[in-house]
Amino acid sequence: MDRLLWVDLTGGRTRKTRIPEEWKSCYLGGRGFTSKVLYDLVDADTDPLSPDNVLTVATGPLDGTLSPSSGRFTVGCKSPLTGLLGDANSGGHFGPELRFAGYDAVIIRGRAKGPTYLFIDDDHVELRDASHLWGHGVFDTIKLLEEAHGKDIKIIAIGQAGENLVPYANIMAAGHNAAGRTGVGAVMGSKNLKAIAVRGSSDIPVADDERFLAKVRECHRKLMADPTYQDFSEYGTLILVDIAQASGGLSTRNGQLGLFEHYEKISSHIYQETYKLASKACFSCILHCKNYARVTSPPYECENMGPEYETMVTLGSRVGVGSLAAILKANQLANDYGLDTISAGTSIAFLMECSQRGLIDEKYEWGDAEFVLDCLHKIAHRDGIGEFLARGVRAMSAEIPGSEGFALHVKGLELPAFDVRTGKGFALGEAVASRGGDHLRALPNFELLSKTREEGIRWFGTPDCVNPYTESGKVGMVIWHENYGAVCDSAEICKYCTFATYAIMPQDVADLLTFAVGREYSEADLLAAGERIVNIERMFNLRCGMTPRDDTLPRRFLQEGLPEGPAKGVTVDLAKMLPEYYSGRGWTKDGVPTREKLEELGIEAKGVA
Amino acid sequence: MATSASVDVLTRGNNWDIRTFNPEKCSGCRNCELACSIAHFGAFNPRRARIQVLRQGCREEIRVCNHCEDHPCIAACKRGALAWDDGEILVDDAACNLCGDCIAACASGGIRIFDETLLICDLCHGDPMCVKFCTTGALALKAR
Repeated sequence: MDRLLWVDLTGGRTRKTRIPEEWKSCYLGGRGFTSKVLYDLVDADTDPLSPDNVLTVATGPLDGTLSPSSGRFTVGCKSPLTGLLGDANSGGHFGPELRFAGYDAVIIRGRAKGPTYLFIDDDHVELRDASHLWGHGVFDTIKLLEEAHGKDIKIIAIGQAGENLVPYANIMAAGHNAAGRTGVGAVMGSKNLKAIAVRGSSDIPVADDERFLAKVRECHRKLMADPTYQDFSEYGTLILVDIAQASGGLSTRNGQLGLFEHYEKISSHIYQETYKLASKACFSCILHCKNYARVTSPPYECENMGPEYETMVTLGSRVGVGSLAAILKANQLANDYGLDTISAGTSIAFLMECSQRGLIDEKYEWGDAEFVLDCLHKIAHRDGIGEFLARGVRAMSAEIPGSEGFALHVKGLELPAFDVRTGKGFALGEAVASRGGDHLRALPNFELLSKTREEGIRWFGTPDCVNPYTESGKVGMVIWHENYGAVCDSAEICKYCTFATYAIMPQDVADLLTFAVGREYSEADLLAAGERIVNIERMFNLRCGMTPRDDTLPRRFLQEGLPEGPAKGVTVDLAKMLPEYYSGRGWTKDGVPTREKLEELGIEAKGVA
Repeated sequence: MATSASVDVLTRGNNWDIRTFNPEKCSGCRNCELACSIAHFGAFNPRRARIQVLRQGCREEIRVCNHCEDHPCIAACKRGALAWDDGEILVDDAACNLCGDCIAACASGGIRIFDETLLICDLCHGDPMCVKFCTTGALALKAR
């Protein structure tokens, strides 16, 4: 523990160092580490797919312990899709294994001469030839590595999409947990790094066993008593498909509609009754929101961990597909190729709308499942239409005049499933998120959970924060969620324990960390660390040329009201929220962190004017 | 979802409650392994756990001593390092030379060696930590 593993792929060398104290005290771990590395080591002019980009895989200080749902890891690098800060995190069992091997983070630079994988067996670290793995999908890669090293190793790997530098390729853990966003898999591919295989067998002690275990039990009790625990543990994120349809925001036909005509065929209950076999958990998680599924009848036979809400929408309603079996098959293909389902599905949906509007000559029909599956093959191999789709929505739109308004991206990152017209806190969060069009930076579910006006006042000082359709009262709520969200991503605690159930609060995380690492953390310390991470990411993006004009949303959400449903006619007015957000953050009216703010947070300004 | 419950009775110790395992309920979170390792070794390390959960597809398989009544592990030990005491297998670490004969004799795969230590579940003397930290109910105690 407390070690960094530095890997220089160009020179074929590795070395181990202690983690600087400042990293642990000020940036916690996980996303805090990956963003700190980017800020310190990556220049504005670094080509994301060049050997100069730095790929960091970081665990959190609670990884490997009984702390609830704390087994995640984050991969960070400069994004080939956005040219800005990129990162993606994932659950599963890889993060804890890396920590059991004795490393809190692996920092990878350079480019190997040929296909390579990194093998870590406790202290033994080796770069090995991966020629026999190159060209294989994620599933085969894992199988071959397990045959070589034993079933007890844990693996992250890229598929063909990462090898072929698709800018939204992901990195897969165990074949079904995706570090999915911003193209971290393409950066891994550009380094000729196919996989990291880890076996770890060292102990992770905690400073105060008794109080730590008592705190874990307390967190378990709070989680299980929360009203949303039952739904999430039973249906996982798929319950959100039902909630989205009910609120009129089930993104359909590239967000032209918020009600999906085939909703009944993809609802969580239908899924439960037809293809789901079991609920599964990530390491140390009592929520077990993952679902294992099997389709036995042709033509879409498949068996794997099933799709999440994001995939059910982006490869389902957003492209008009109402066949549950086809969506499961698409999910499996995307996982095997190592493709971000959000970016892939949204790119296909964009193409379909271009066709619908006659902006391109080719005819593509909404709901054509065969076409969607074919696109996934072609994107991963950059073949035919796949070469165009693989560029992502922003680059595609640049070549099709008249399509900007419905190109669903922010800063180049395709937008997730949630329709932000049905949640104004989400709208603000996605407009300003440091990795582009992303809901997880803020994830202000508080506005969606039918909280009372009194709860709104108690939590964020305003009753308006519980009404998802108004712009007022959202800024304070979003800033708190962003700061605490950065803490969760850095401690590597799943946000479904903190922003879906609201069971585990900053003081709980402070207690878990205090009892685990033996350093006193307060709630204020943690939220300051979260704010520090948000600010360092903002500074990195500004260095890379982002401007406040990029803090926006597609015109569809700003000017087009939904045609029907509870959110009928609603649009987003960002101008009502952005100035208050910037000042609430202590930034200038142009959205730049002030010198005073940076000094307060102990961030050294560098690389920006 | 499949619902056919197949509950394996794991433990038949003389005085303690029976420990059962229902694979249909197991999510594979591995909290039982973590609870076991911290209870016995003061640190988290699944490889030190005397209980192990292995995922096969969507099914979790358990490896743990089920305290069976004929305990062939004891008969297999040529050095007298294992003894039966009121439902618990006692290990004399000084006498054990880690030969693995007991492991070969155990039909449930419940004995392992890690870090030169023979690992056999002692059911935490009747109050097993693995059950305490199992929130799905896959591991449970049943009064005899």
